[in-house]
Amino acid sequence: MSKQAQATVAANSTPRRTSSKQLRETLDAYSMLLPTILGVAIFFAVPLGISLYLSFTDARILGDIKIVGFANYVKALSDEAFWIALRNTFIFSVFTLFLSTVPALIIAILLNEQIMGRSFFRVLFFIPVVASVVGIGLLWRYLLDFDFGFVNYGLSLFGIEPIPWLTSAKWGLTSVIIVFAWKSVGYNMVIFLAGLQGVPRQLYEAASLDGASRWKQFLNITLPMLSPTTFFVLVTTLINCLQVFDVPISLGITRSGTIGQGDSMLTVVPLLYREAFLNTRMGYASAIAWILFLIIMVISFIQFRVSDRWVNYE
Amino acid sequence: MVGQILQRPWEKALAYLFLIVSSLIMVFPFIFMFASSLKTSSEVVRIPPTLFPSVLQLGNYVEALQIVPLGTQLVNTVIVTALVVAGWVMTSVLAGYAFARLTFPGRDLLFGAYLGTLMVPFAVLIVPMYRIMVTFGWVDSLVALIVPWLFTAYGTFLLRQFFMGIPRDLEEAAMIDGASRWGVLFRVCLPLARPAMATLATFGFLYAWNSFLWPLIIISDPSKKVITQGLMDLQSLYAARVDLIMTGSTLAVLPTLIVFLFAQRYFIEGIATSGLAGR
Repeated sequence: MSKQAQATVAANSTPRRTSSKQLRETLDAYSMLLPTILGVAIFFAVPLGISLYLSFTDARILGDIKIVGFANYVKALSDEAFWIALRNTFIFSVFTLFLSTVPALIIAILLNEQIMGRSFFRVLFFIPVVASVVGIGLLWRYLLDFDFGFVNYGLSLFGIEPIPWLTSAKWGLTSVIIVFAWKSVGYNMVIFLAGLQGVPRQLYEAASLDGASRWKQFLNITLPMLSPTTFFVLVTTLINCLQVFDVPISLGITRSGTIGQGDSMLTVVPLLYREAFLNTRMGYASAIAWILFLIIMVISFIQFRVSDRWVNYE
Repeated sequence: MVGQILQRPWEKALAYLFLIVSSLIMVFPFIFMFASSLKTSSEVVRIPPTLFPSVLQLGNYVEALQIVPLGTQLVNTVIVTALVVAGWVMTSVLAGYAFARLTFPGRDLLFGAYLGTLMVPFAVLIVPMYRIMVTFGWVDSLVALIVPWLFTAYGTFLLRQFFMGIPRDLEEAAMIDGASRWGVLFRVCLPLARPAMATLATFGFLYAWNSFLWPLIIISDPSKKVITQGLMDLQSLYAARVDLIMTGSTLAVLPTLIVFLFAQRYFIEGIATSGLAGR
């Protein structure tokens, strides 16, 4: 260390220098944070407040705004489209939660074995994750076409009658579930794989010495050690499902504005979009947004409470 | 660690069979999409479907780029994506470093509040954001697709975690040599943070390139639209031309696949990191 440097260190340790050094550091910190603070204030905090305010008004695209109290919330509860959207979102979420996590876990467990071409397989499973949802939506609109779609052609080879995947109210939501799950399996698989690789080897070695079978080891070591990862995957998938937009829109939006045949693919966010920007009912749409937000908050709260009981944190 | 559930040969064979079939389900639709983009409009609707185009229709690409106009929209998407990625990296480096290394009043409160923003669904913000854009006069302008999206709590968290892992000695040595905080950040920490920045950039790229809901709301001028909107227009205006729709989809999907193949390490690392946050 040079003489000069030693002198600086000595000077830094005196109280006066320290407080001016602290001031300097605070200034540096806030200048580094300035763009972020400005951005979050203008494009997050302010809109959040406006949104809550609008949900209590009769706001349309332009014009005067009148406060209407809880009228929008009351209206939502008696709006048939809102209940359809809520019901669809719920069914969609339950099935997608299962279809996008169970296969992901199985694939992750297999890829965690000594398998040739592991990273190659991992890349293949990940491709749908990175691809544009709208591109994928249109691709599946073609694959699921009633007359010339590849899926119905494939089914016909097994003697199965063609299924009106996108053109019937009965199958609409099923199609959304299939496409969404197909797209998110790879994402969940990567998270499971990271979780599996974090399980300490010693646990297995100890269990082997005790004569535990491979299956017992899987049930008693792998799955419990994986529970924080599983929990994380379930929570994030559920919260993403509740906000689904791109898949139902790209698969199902029709010229008349319905999402799928008879709104069979209508979920909450597409309904919100339609109310705010096609029907120009912005106050009402804001109320829908806050109901969704409330549902998400309640679910996160319940899940975090439940997690204390069954998730095994190290 | 690598598991050892599969030990008998038939177990391994079954595992390979399962992996091959399921990965085909993941990849085949893309192969079929690309093949269909090179077929004629009558061949794409033929039953039984053909796998390879009987006559290559490279002209589909020329046509798709001109109608809608998808070509202009691709350029818009590239501009928006590049600037959003640059913004993400820049703001996250600065904020992440401040949160990781500097002590200042309000630090933990600010950081907690910033992470808290991740809890709020975007759906809550779209209506007021639209009205703010009207006030700013940014409707139908690429600015609306860029400026509000230059910040990311996820990226700030990622860079903060990374900076916290850099040994303090390195920075202290530089500061003793007279470097300022900014000097330390740019000359000592930034070069080390390249992998974290690359991870963030790949995520920013995916996010910006594939964004759909916000552009749908804020842009209605066809010459200002981005590729995802162009695809939906293609679907509604040329519903009978499946060949062109598949061409458009290929144009939207291909860039992300190429970036992914080159940067897959960063994608997978980034996701694994965010997943481990759940531990």
